[in-house]
Amino acid sequence: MAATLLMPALAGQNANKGQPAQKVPQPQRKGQPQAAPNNHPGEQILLKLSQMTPEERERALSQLPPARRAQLEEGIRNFQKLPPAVQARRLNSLQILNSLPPRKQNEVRRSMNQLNLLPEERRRAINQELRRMYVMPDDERPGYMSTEEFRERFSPEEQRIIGDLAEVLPGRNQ
Amino acid sequence: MTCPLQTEQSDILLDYSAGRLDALKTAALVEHMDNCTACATFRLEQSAVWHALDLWEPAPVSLDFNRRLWQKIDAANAMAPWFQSLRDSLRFANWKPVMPLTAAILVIAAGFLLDHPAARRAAAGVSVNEADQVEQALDDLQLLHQLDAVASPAAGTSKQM
Repeated sequence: MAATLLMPALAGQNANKGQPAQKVPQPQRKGQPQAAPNNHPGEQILLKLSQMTPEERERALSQLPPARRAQLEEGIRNFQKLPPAVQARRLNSLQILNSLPPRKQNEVRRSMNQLNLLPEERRRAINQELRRMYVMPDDERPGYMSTEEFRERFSPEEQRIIGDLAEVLPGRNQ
Repeated sequence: MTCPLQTEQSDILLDYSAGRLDALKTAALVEHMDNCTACATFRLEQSAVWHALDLWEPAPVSLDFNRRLWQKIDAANAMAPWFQSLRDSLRFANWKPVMPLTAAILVIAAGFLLDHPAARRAAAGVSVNEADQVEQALDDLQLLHQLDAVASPAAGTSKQM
């Protein structure tokens, strides 16, 4: 549902350069209660900035030092270059990440960084496993991760990485 | 626990500062404040206000204060024109006793307005603090590209941010 709502809005951003984009609804994970509107300030401001015209954004960022402003503008532009479906999926994952307690958020970030450092072969194995868990109902995942078969295939560190990343898997309807 | 400042439930923080919160909620809030800079700052500011109020003591009033006061009022009403009465009532010295209380109310109001999301929304530009938050969101989006391949195998080859 979130993807259905997000895609036209995000597509509008790319199509109408120089024009304010349509309102982007908050990404929402199926089955979860909607988060309070101001629960994720960075995400909210980023969405607002990405909906502005370049001139509006320049004005909004005018209080920042030039280097900082350029860095943020580049990050926003790079995000806008992504296909709308990918933007929607990432925003959905970001919303899930921001809904976690701060400590858990940091653990997930650390695991994502650690996944990047793993050898290609192990990274592929973990991605494959996450894909398998992606189609699994949420309440079946812990049981699956405690099976002997699962534990034999992954080291304790890899199991922890998989567990952390499973927390922010985007909704299956994306 | 969800941040009360971000969910516009700052009453719970005010109750905590006033010592009106029950033990269970207090424990949960204290744990939250250990991890939340905004709430920890709010607690510090509230604590400063309460401390200032505790220290403030009204000047003692003499026993015949009321009698002398009414005598003066009667005398003034009988003699002074209206503009002089008005000028007297607006004299700085008359307002001295209420100044600490006024200052305390202003500090509370300023704290509430500054922490209120609506006030932040109204701000025209992006502050340095907000820029940090946007940067964090962009960094997270960058990290989350790893999940593209999971949710959509075809997207695994899409351009990374």
